[in-house]
Amino acid sequence: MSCKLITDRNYRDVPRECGVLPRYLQYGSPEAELQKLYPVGDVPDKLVPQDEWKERILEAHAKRMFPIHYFEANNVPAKNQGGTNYCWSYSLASTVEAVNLMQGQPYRRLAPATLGHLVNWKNQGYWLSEALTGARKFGFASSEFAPDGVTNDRLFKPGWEGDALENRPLEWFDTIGVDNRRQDEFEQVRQCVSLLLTPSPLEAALYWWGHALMVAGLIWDETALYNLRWIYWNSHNDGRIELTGQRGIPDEAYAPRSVTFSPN
Amino acid sequence: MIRTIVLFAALLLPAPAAAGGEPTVTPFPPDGQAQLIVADGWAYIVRGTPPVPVRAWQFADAPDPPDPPDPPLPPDPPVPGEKWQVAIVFERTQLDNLPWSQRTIIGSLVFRERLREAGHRLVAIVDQDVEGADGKPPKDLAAYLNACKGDPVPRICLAPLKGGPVRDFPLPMTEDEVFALLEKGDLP
Repeated sequence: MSCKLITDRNYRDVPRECGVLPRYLQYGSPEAELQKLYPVGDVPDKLVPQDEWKERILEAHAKRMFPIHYFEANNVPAKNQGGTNYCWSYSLASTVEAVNLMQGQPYRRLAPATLGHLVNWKNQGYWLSEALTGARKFGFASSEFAPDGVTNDRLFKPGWEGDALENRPLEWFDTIGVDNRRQDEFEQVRQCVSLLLTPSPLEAALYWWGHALMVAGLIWDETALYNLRWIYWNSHNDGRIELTGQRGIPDEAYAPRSVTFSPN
Repeated sequence: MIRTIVLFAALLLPAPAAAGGEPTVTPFPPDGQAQLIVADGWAYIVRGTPPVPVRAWQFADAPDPPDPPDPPLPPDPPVPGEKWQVAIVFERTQLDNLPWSQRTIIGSLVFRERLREAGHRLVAIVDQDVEGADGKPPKDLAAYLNACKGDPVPRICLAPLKGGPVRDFPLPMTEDEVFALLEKGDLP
């Protein structure tokens, strides 16, 4: 499948965004746990050894286990955040949609714009950790209540707040993140790969882009850094894109541990 | 006058059948101090003031005791080739401890499509602590989650496609073993 590929060589062509603010919560801190972010590093046996990555990734494709397989099998349409800076909400809504599909539920399109109250309906970026907390409390209404690409709740249908409570992510596995010196880069890659192979989607931030996206899978690519090509689900009306090199490594990443189960 | 009628009736009243014998008539003592009281299918001879019962007969059939409830029918034995509603219940925090073959069952879209093509209906593949919007186990899944309660997960729950009781089993190790289980409706 042909899709946009962003690498360490061509990434400067990508317009920067202001959708995600750098994380302030410390990994594994009590404050993070209060926000239901549980460090995946506390579960060392969850981490897949690097020498097993190739076999596991190939198997995940053969058995179609990654979120991208569920999206493509269900013809999930791309999201379009339009001119808004709500990538933090669009990526999060996609992550919840992916878990719903993987739980065996029919596809239910969510309306990321309904989380705009977290920024008082202003067109601005946000912290992912705060977005996760807001989504846990308030959730996402279904798309029949609100269109994509808006920041105005007057365009929503009545009843959206109640519907949103049906679609809430509740708890997350947290990853160590990459600091400015990229000291933890390999550990972050290992944690992300392991969570993706669970299998699970990841809600992720790429600081170089100022953008949040859902990580939807991996490709084993022996020409790329760590032999990994990262499959992302973007919200620029494009859906699947791929990244390699350091540009592809999430600076923050969260894997949903539980999501409300909505009636069919 | 009333007393006379009452006593005469008592003399004619058939006594209860002796255990295993013919009906008998019990002599009534003609002392004028007795009364016959008839109520609710029973006849009582009472004496004195206040009246003290000295004898009682049941002369009408006692009402039939209520029929005991039908014993629950045993579930229909599995029919080979039956189609099932299938739910898989696991513990998300323990997924990493499962053999890869079981993780593949839980995560694989290929498995789900094979399930559908075989005529089964996938209900859900969920964590055992899954919540609905109200923070409680989802009603749609209650029967499956209850069936697994107290048993080690991961488990696979089967209910006939046309409705019926939920059977639950340890999740088999491989996809092929799952389909063998679905074919038999029971473990080997």
